[in-house]
Amino acid sequence: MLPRCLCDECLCDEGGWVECLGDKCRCEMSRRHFFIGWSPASARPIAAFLAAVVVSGLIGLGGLAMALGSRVDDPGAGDITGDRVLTGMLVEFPYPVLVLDPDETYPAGHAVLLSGGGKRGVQGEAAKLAGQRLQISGTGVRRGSIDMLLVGEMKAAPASASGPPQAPALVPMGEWRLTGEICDGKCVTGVMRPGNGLAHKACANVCIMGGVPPVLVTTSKVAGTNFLLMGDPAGKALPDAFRDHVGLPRQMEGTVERIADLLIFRTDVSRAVVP
Amino acid sequence: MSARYEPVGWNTSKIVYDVVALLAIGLYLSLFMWLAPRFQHISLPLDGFTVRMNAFGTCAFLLMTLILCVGPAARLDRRFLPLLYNRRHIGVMTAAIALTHAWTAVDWYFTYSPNNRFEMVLRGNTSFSQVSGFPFELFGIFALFMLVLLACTSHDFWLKFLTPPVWKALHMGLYAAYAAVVLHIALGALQAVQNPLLAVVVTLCATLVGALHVAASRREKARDSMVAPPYRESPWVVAGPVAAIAEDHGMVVHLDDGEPVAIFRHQGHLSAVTNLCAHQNGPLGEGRVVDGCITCPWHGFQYRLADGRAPEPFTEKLATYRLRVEDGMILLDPRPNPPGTHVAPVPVR
Repeated sequence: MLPRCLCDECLCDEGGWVECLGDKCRCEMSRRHFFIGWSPASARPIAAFLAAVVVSGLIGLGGLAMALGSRVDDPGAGDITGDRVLTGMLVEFPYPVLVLDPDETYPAGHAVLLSGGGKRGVQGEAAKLAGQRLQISGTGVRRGSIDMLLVGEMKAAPASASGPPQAPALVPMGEWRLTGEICDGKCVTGVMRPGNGLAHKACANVCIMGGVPPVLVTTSKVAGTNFLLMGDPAGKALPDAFRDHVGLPRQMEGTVERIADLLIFRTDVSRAVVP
Repeated sequence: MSARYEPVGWNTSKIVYDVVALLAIGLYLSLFMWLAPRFQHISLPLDGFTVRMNAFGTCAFLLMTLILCVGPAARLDRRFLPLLYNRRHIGVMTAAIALTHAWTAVDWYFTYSPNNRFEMVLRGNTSFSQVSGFPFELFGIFALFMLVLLACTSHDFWLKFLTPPVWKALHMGLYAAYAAVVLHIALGALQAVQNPLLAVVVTLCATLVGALHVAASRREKARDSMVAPPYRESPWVVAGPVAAIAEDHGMVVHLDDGEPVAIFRHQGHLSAVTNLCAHQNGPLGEGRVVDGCITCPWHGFQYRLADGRAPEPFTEKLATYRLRVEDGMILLDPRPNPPGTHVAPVPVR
């Protein structure tokens, strides 16, 4: 009996040898095993092997799909809350905010960020109406303490029983050094899940470039919240330099102010550093 | 083989191949998008667009990994050759899946803005000067362009039109596309997630592709380093002993200019042709003689032993070589004859 050939031409474990040549062999198996695509019968000798490969592949792919599809990071509990009609004073910092009248839930008043449909802000419409008491209808979005209304219609509100509207007070809260991620206020509030992170960076840039209010999501709470509306030190919209810092962990210094229950962080974003 | 161009020259193997591939893709996407989310432990489910993006994106990456692994796996173990046979169809499926991933990303991240969505894909992130935050979308765009280009030129019409060497060089672009996809994921999704699973999968896949190629390359390098020595009569070289070639099998010898030549034994006679199949430069010497014709192990293209011509009505031709047998040794004239030149097979004894 011929010894087992160690070359890789032959698939036989034993037997069936015709001739062993050291680095080549001839056996019945190696002669039969030659797959030709247009001849399905040629695959029969390795059908069991191919079946094992296919089954293993399907099991492996299925396992990967389940693992990759189920083990995801928590995108947060932001969500669309449905149609809302809100009444309050419209102010701009410079992003438009509607400060609602105080009620039982919000004794100090409640500030709602305003944005338009799609990746658009409502600065244009709001500029004409700033300082007025308005009734605004739209779609609400909420995540934790941050509230946003995707504006559908803005109109003058009925006169208040308490007399003419008064501008809400802006309360200084001092100098702060904050660490967090600059996001667009719309996606991070719950229009997208996830609406933050580096994979979402370009989308956040497009939103903010379109006028959606930028929000700093801090790693630690500031006066009870992780969400601060952002603006530059002069009270204007963020300069283009913000784009390089969106979606990334950044540390920035600036002043914090509060209007109703909304914090506003004014900072020179071009000086943001990696924490 | 096909004597004329058809969209797909279907046969049983191709149908089985495509059914299995589509089944695997369907299984992956179904589990990822509909079953796996039921096992997520998060506050609220991810939005549908993000799930679709993740499902199609990872599916395209895994398919590219499979495509790149099949080649070296088949060189290391011939039993994987059936996976190579219809690999181009998986390539076309991969391009379609990558397009779905890209379109979902564009539709979700870049639409509904005051500006053109495609303009915003390029303008949305311009942080070229930093690694973290680099516009990883550009790597994805490049990879998608390559995948679509390769899918569009995958038909044999383009193979013939461009010639096999050019076509082959173009389709080697899949390696560049794969590298771009790895960068696309590494600078994008991997930077955004805290769960290490995706990083582990991507690293394992890229390592597998690299390891298989290194293993196959080392084996081939060992074979290729054995150059046929010159015989005492110029220009003949010594190809090896007659006994080294089994009946209906081939043997590959390398000339000193690196050219590989395949020598086949059939019915007591020897014939030599170039080792490169006229179809896709497949390794003919690793093929067999079937029905009296040299048969390529990759796609089953066939050539007559005596003149290297494909049987009519096919028109492919191979360069042939002259042989002699002396004292049980095969001698080869290293000067190739024009493709299709008749050379009478040499009797073994």
